[in-house]
Amino acid sequence: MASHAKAAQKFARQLFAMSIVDGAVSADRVAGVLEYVEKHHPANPVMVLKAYRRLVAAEIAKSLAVVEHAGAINDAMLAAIAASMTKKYGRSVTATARPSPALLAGLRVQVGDDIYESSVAGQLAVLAASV
Amino acid sequence: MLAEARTEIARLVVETTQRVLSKELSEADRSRYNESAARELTNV
Repeated sequence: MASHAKAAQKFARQLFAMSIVDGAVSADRVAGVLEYVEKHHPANPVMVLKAYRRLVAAEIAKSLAVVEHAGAINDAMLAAIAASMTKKYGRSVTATARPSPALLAGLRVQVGDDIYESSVAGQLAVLAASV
Repeated sequence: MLAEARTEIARLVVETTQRVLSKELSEADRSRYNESAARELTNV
């Protein structure tokens, strides 16, 4: 079972590598990969596709800045954050807004596993941890 | 004992501050704060 999982992971990584064009996930390549899997029925296709989906989702998350906010933000702020993250990561990053009243005021930006925060809730958390 | 009291007091202060700020901050306050936060985060 473990060897099946390992083989499925390895194959998924190969499929994932084929899905990247110019450092980003290509929708055309992903469609081609899915077509290939459907046509050729590799061993453990569900396992392969689940692993493949995880890899693709993680890669797409790296190109997306989720901007959580309490209070209003505008398109100019989102554009500035997207431009800044694009420069920082050296790849095209788009920004999307998500309301988060728990922040009280301010922003929390997540790109992949990285989090950047400037919020009242974050400052209070730092304060609580320091006393 | 003293350390525990200190931690508990800090927790209560932070909790109360959160509660007060969530009611007292106006939309204009939040908006201004967000502009400043956006400037800070675009300089990371």
